[in-house]
Amino acid sequence: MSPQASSNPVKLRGHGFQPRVVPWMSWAFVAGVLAVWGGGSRLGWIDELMLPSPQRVGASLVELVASGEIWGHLAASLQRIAAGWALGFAAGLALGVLVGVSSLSRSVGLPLVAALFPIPKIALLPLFILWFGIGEASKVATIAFGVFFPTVVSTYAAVDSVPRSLIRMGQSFELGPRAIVAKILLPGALPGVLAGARISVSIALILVVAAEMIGAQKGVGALILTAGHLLQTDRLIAGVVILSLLGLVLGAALDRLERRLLRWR
Amino acid sequence: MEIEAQHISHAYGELEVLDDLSFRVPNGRVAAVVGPSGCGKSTLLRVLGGLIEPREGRVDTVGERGRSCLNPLTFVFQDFALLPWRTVAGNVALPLEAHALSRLERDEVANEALTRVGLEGFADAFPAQLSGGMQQRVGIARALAVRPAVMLMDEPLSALDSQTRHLLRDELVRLWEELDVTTVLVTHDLAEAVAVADEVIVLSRRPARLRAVVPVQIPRRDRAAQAAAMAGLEQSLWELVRDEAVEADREIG
Repeated sequence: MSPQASSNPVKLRGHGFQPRVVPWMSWAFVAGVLAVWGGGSRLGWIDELMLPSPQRVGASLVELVASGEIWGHLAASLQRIAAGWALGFAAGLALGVLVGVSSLSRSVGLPLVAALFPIPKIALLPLFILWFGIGEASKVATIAFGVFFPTVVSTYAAVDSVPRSLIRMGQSFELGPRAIVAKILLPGALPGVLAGARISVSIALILVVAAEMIGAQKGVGALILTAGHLLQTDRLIAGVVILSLLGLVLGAALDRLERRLLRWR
Repeated sequence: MEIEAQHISHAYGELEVLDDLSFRVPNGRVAAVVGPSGCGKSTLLRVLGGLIEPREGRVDTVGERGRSCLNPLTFVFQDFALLPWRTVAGNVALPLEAHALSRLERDEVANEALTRVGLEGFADAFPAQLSGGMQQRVGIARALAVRPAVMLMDEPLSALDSQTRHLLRDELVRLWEELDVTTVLVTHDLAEAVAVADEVIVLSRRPARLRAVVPVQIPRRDRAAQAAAMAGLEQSLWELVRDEAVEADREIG
């Protein structure tokens, strides 16, 4: 470089690393997958029994809906999810808040959760069948149990994450312990509790299918298992698609709830 | 109402924080507490407000509280400590919910406090929508809503940018002219201390001992006009604090 003054444009170095979702790319990908799948089936590259064409899966879905058969299965699964999730969530929320505020509950509750959380809950279904019988109660109990522990953990973590300065603030303004829990800790923990609900709903979905595969006539899990036994792979995959849609719908419902309750963010 | 600290000592485990502090802030006066960073100023304020029990010593409020006073000792916090899920009005109403007031009275008192700090029209906003200065105005309105006799302010302007800090400082000065509220204000900003206080309580580094109580004689509303005198006062405070600040700065752990 010569010592004389020279003028050079500053090179832009700050581009990239800002990923975002481009809708047409997403749709193009879905269309691409369906095209490859459908094309492969038509050309005979994909065995119709192992993986039926998207058209046949679609036809199966339509038939399940048109014949009304699907509603019985969906209703059975949804009832189990609703009962099991509500029970497990309510109990988990209660214990989670207690662990979040009291030393006694924390001393007792945390070792309990640590010991029982890692058990794959479906392993307890045979025991629950002995206790509660083969009917609904054992399935509901399995789901409730599976939902309970992650709810405890996410709730007490959410309560812990409420800034202590807010509690001191409440105390300085002479709010009593109950008012501090109701007006500061619970609303402050709500975002974490809702994030936990998202996880526990998907756990409930896993467990309901697993439980229905072990002993049920009705339910999406039973539908899938029976279709498998009969080598009706189109029905089987239709059942899987139903589960995917069910998960999406439940997730979207939680999204809406979250946006309403966490408007202040 | 006066607030009086007698022989306050405090420690966190082995770490001694406050060492035999005694002082008295007369009725309606504003006392600024200054000292090197980490010297225990905020701990002192929490002791004064009954949020921490000191190892030794006692704190008394002396005198009659006003008839409408609901809570004699209230706080204004450095980080505002607003509930993000409550609106501005909801935040100001929070301390009123600890007292037996009808909904109507509560709204009335909260509105009055909002108006006093210039927050009319912001009642339905959420804290996250407001600037730092507006958020701290909510914090001040909340502290005033219960008609305190003593207001304890923990670095109330430190989280604000310097222009906002000046604006809010002027507003506080106006509030103190209007209201008869004894105030203890912790700050690390010596210029702020001399601008707002009737007296400056100077602490040593940790464990904090009382080094001096420096009165500021110039009337608050004349201070802006007497820049030279204020600068001189600030300089003399700096000389009191400087050596200790240097040592505190070089401390490990």
